[in-house]
Amino acid sequence: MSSVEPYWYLASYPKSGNTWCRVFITELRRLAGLDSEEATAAAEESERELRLNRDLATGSIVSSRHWLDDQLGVDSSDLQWAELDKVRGRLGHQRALYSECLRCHKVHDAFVSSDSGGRPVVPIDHCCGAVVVIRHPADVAVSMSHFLSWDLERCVQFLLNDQAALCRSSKRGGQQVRQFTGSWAKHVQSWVDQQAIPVLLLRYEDLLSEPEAHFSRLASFLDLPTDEALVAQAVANTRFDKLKAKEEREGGFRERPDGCERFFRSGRSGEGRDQLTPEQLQRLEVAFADTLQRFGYVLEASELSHP
Amino acid sequence: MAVGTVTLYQAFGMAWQSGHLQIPELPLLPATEEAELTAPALIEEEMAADWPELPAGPHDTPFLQMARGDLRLIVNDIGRFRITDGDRIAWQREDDSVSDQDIRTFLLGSAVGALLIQRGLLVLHGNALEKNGQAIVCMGHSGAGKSTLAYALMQQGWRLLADDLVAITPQGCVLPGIPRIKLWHDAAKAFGLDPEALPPIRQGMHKYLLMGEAVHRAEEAVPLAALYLIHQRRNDEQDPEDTSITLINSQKVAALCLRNQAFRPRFVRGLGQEGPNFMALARLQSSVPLASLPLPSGIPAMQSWLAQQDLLTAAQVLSP
Repeated sequence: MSSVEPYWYLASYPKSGNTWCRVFITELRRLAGLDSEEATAAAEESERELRLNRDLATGSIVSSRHWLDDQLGVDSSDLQWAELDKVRGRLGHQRALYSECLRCHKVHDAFVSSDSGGRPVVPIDHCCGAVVVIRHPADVAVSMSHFLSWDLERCVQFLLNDQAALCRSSKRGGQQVRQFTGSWAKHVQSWVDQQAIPVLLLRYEDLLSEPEAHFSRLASFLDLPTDEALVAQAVANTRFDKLKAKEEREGGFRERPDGCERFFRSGRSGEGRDQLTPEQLQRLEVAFADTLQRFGYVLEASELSHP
Repeated sequence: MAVGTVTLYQAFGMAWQSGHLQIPELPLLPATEEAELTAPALIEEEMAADWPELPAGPHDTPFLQMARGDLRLIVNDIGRFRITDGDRIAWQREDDSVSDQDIRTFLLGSAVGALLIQRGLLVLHGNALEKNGQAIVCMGHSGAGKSTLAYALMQQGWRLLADDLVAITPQGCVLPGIPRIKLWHDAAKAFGLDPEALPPIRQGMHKYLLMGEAVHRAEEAVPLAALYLIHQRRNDEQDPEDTSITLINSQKVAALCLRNQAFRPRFVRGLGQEGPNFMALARLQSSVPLASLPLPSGIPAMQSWLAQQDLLTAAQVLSP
């Protein structure tokens, strides 16, 4: 077995701020001079500024076939989703060959899947912990609607669906395997309530309102420098308006799907309240009431209907 | 060619002899070639409990154990494989519920790949097609659309040398490999095939096997004319750099690309073949142009774009 190196997860329901956190981490590492010699040299050659498409290297997403095939030693597309979910959690975290990056892996899967037999879908041996980023489901619906070109109703249904999954088709290939999410609330609970690895819970809304304080918690959890000036600079360099401008300058962020006009679209919170119908908002709030209140979200639609 | 209870096949420029397990994906060895037969690689069922223990290696994973000349692969709930000294694949199924088809799926991928690596061949993850006595190899990661591209090219008059596993000789020739293409349901339908009429790669999967008559295969080793790196183009792509075939000029970038496109780089390292592999890649890089192949997304768009390209010469024309 390869020597054990520290690794973390950046776990979130889709469209909840995962990428923003990864961009921040990449920028903080760059500012702190922690990147590999090669990456640093490359950065010096060009402008000393975050280059979105080239530098975002916080570690591969755990649903990547490329990574799974390497670890399994077989072609993951020769296995069924249920077979894969049984083995994914048993993989090690051997350094992916030829990659040099912080091992902070993005993951959209719920901690356990309907096929994983109660076991985690992701490997957890020697894992240092999971950063769990959550965002109000109404805002997630709006963001998802833009990202996937789905109408809002479809997004609301997806958030409410206990069996929801990303890349679930078994009829076509792709670079990622199916990621079982379950409903928004089940997804959040699966990560926050598991006892196997430490958790740092971050709310997207708090990252927006008090970025220095909360990104500093993120840095500390990942054993990265927490020097105030450094964090403030990384926060300033990765503000939403800057990312949006960079996206326009670089002609599109790579993780943006076809049909999605821009990845860094609005970044605001509260859009869900304006754009969902009162009925849609209420369905989300009724279904997720306990989880929303637990994490400090105010129930509004319910108040409207029961003044 | 069947001899007693064993059958002789040919692939990758060598003979293969399998015991109980029939392997219809592999071409039979013509009787005329049996006279000049050198020792075939053996494929045999065996009790994994009898395999000697292997000390832990630095590149092992929970499903893979490797040492020089010995690779062990566990496919969960399917079976175990042991590949030794470039001349033998031993396998055991997990239990009787595992079909021959299940065993063949993993045997013809990772196990055969490991054996070829042990023999010192350069094994790339891609497809190889032949036209006018020359070959191109198109490489890409899992999910990049290699098999779909192979089928599309075959429809445009190319003959299939290999899909998934491509072996290249030290002389720069591509060996005819396993003449089969695995297509997902949606891709098969887009090509106008009836998925219901095709055998699934494994029971219950919506990925299908095209072999035998369904494949136009090239039977002889041919020199490699160009290497391509598949790049899935975005539908809204405007940049001409990303919509036309572009030569990868930088030696450093080309070397990295090739190294990353090796078939299972972890096997190469774990089997101690990194040195010879590095030399083989360097030889290849100095003699064959490498270019990016920006495939439009969607099969009809890909087909019409491919019809306008001359892939045998495109990369060479761009070469300085």
